[in-house]
Amino acid sequence: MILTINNSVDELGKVQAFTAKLAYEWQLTDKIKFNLDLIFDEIVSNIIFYAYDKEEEQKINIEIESIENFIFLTISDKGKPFNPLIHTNENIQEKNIDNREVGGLGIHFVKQLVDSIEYKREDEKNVLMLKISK
Amino acid sequence: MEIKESKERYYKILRLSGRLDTTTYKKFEDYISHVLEQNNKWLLINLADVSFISSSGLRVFLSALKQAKAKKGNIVLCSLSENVAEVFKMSGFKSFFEIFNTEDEAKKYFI
Repeated sequence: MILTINNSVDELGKVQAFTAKLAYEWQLTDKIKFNLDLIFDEIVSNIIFYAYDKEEEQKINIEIESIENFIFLTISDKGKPFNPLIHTNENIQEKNIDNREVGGLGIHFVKQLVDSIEYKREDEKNVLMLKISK
Repeated sequence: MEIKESKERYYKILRLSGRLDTTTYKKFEDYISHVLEQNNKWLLINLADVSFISSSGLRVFLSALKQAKAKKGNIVLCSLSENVAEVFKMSGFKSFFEIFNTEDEAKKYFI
């Protein structure tokens, strides 16, 4: 299944509806639906906020398929080259609240929720490929 | 995303419902900033009806907690669903917050 949205926060509602539809059709558990929702919110919002210069309308493509016990997800955009996997945040481990920074959590969540995640830059696109256990 | 507020003796209870994500966090952020600016530094936040939370929503909790602690107050949470609790756990924020299973248990914190 494929969903194409514009790079606007207002479009996230379409992604939520898409997730609900997939969850119903594929009979995903509540936990997997929640995790998929979380992965989309983190990755797609990251693209919306950081991949493009403001005011520039662009597309974000989501392709998802279910094969046996796995979900394969590919998210691509034509924004600036950006590999989210190399932007790790050491601050995640910080135990002192005064030193803990507020940002940097999204990709940390995604990495914990997937079996694998790969990034490539191809045909002037950022392509993120994820494999998720059902 | 909806917020209902009630006033207890010296603290406030905020009962949240719906999704706390990139599309809704701003409403929560504006609301809680306003509450903290109105000289309230003790809050109990009930998350029983929060169906979803992402890092956008979590950030609001951490910055609000920092504001409350700076005023020598605190923000206490209760009634997290299993999925929401897991997100708090992944973030490491669980160690920053007092979290109770039920609102009644959380209220005892304020006695």
